[in-house]
Amino acid sequence: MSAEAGPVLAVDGLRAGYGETEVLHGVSLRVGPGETLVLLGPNGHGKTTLLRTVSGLVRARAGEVALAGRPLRGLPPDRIAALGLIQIPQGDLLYGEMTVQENLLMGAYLPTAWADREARLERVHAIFPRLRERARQQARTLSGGERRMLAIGRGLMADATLLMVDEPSLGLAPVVIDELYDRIAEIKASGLPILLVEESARRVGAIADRIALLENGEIVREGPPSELLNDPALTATYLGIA
Amino acid sequence: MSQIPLVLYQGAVLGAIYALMALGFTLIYGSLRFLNLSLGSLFTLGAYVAWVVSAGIGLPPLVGLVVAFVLVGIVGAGIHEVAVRPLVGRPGWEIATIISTLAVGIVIQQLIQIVWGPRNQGMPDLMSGSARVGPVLVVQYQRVAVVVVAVAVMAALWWLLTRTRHGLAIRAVAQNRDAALLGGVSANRIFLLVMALGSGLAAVSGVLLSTVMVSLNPTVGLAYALRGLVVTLFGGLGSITGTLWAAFIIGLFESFVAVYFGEGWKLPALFVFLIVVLVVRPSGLAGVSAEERT
Repeated sequence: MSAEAGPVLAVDGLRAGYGETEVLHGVSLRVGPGETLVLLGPNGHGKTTLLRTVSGLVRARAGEVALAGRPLRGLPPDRIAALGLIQIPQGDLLYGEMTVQENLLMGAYLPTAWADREARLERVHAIFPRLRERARQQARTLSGGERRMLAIGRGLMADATLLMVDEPSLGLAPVVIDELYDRIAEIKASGLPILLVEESARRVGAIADRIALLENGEIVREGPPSELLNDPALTATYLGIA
Repeated sequence: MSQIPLVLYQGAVLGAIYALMALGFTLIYGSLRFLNLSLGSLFTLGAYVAWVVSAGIGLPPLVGLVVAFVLVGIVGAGIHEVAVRPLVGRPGWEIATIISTLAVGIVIQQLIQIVWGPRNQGMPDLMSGSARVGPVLVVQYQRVAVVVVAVAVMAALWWLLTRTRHGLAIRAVAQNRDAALLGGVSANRIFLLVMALGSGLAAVSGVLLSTVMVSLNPTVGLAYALRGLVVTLFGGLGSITGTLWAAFIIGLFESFVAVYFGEGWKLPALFVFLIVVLVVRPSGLAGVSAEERT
């Protein structure tokens, strides 16, 4: 990342939680232009809360979030999405009683994206041909892998400045995960900056430009994948191998 | 058996009108998860607005219908800002909004009475004339026009909800609010739109019903709000297709009771019907259980 361009996403000292419980205790991170930052961490350590706070679904208690230099804190999630911060949420959050096509179209809800929706549908169908085959089916009838494809495809329908992907491998069969990561690599190759969250380091080595480890609501390590994925102490935790 | 064409004919007319009323309830419930009890009075208000436009000013009843839809839609949006939005999200707001919208409904009903008086008024027909079809059935063009207009309004609503971005957003917010927010949808604007649309539908329902009823008075809305609620509950709260089925089933049921047992049995029979439905299938026709819905 060049110093002049500035980060696409800058998170500084972010604190957030639910009720009495604080989950994030001052998280700071940067995603540069065209960069893919992978955030690894065990379940329940605040990865999803971090994404939900950045996108405005959870209110930040302290700290700052900026997208391309523009402060986001305090804005409602729909305004943040309109600025180009697109989250592909955990559990997909599809519109179950709407068709695959309608789910995708909702990704292009904002006026500039809507005007260009046909071209974007073509583009998403090119990445996920399965979604074209399933276009008229209700989203709730899809398989787990197809649901994940639809969630990602819906995110790609928007005008994203940065894409945040929450555990794309969650609950999927290994062969499906491989295919999904191939597609994410294609999206990365298009130049879109990505903040991707995973529990396991197994598949992220190929796409990560940098990796950050989130434990107990704090970033405990950060560095290039070559460094972190070759550290035996870390691979024991994050690859599940002793 | 010879009365069956009559039952079907009257049932279709009632079903079409109830469907519009119940769609108002179900759209609003689907998005905001509360029952807007001001719709009964908005139903009446719509009928009076159309009556002023057509009987008072002398414009065609269809113009009155459009004016009623727009004006009552604006009133519905106002009700959202004044009586619903300030309460949403607070502890117990689902009940609080039912009471606040009921209160607004009572105020509107009283205002109608103050402005236009308590006496019965006659609504001009959409069309005149009739034709005899078979031995028992005399089809009034007026009633056919009511069904045609109602079906046209439902088709327009269907187009809105499946083909336009704001219509898709209405369904998206109802099905997964977080996802819609992440997609850039302002839930508050959609709520306002849904309240306006649901209120406008209640108004159209009121206009159509007042053209087939003998007379129009400030309290007509109550009985039809109850029917709208029965249809909405029977259809499965928040389900649009369930609501449409329920409206026509209940329209047919009412017309069956009226033809074979007499007009006086309609409401009692309807509530016995509702009680049976709630015991046998509490989630209604569409069958979404309370747990799934939230």
